[in-house]
Amino acid sequence: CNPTVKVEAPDKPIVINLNVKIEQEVRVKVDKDVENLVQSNPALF
Amino acid sequence: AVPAAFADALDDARAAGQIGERPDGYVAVVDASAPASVKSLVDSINRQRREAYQKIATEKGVPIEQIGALTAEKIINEKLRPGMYYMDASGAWKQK
Amino acid sequence: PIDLALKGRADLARLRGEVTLALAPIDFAIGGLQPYNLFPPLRSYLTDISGRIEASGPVRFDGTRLTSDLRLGIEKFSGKVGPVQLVNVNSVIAIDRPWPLSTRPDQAVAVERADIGLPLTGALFRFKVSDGKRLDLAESRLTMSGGEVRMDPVTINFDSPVHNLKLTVTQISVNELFANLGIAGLSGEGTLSGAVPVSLFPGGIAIPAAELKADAPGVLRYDRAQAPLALQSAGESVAMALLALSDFHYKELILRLSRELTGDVDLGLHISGSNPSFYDGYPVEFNLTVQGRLDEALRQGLAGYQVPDMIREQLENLSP
Repeated sequence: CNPTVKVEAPDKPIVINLNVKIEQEVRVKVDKDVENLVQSNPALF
Repeated sequence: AVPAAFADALDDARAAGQIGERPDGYVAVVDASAPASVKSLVDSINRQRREAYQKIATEKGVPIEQIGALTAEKIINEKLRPGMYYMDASGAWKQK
Repeated sequence: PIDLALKGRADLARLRGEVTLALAPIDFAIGGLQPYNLFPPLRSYLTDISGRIEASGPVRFDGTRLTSDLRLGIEKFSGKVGPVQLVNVNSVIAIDRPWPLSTRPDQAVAVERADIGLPLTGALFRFKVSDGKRLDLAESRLTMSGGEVRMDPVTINFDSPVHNLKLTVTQISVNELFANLGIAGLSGEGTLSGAVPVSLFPGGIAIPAAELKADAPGVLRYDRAQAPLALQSAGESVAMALLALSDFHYKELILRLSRELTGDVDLGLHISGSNPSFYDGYPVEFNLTVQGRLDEALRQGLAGYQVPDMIREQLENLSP
């Protein structure tokens, strides 16, 4: 007899997870200013 | 700069639960029955904060909304002590 | 350079009278005349304004009671109103009391584009202003990314710290939405519907958690060539993902979107289906999350917008 290979279609789909992070160059640019603003005006922030 | 007597008015009002921090970088009255002096403190603080945000926004060419929001994040994460009020992104008051 | 003509008669003893006002057109320009130059308290509400206003009509006073039948024309008005960026606003507003400001009910304003974290276009709002501090907006119909958006009626109170708007979105185009979100290289066929809650703060706009679902099966195509460089060289599993997405026939698509006040946008895309040339159509489930500043991409101009006739006619026969 010739062996036959039967691929049982597994019911589980292939799961692909992908995380994309878009660089925050704007955020970095102003973080310093916000930091100084809060530190140098304790009564206002 | 802010006059000395004013120095801890904001912090006292936050500690007393009269004023809370909004996620857009400004303060708001939490407890409506707070005295009128709290309302005028809120208006004065917000006016000064808006000027400060506008200066940075113009210098760095970034929307003023972003400076306010980033400052709010810093205040809420680093300056508010447990029990103080802050507003979440959908506008509900929460306590640290 | 304000040209304001007043003529009328008044009985000063009994403080009664009527004055007809004719305010010649005033043109605002970025870098030029701004509304706060005329009325300082507007400084924190109206920024970078351009466009024309004019006004005419009778104002009557009887003791301290003020009433009017003023027509305020607003033409090609653009700029930021609070945190909302507006483009090409046109309206003729009937003002029945100049101070504190109150309008007749059911006024109409046409807005070519309103940017609330996502661009709403072709809007016609019906509204009424009362006591100078309350704006009642009736149900409004707008379009977004080629689909229809309905905004529930809302009362905007000028001194309240936050307003929650609820947008119901029907059949927006997958293709246009991805273009509006500035995700280069992602295109598709199919439409989405769902709810977009918007939190309007005086200092900014947040979209706490919008969810849109595919109305029917459709197709998504991602052009790997346009993928950010970091993505293209990010190893095996990413390469597989990009291959799967090159021509993805989805049965189910769920898009979750949130926008923080900082402008950071988080996008979650869950799709299930298959790609005929990927493991010859083997079923695939795909979860993509994109974080980052997508909103810069939303600042886009619009071609082919027509001011609704009803308002254009009012504008034309307004000028004295």
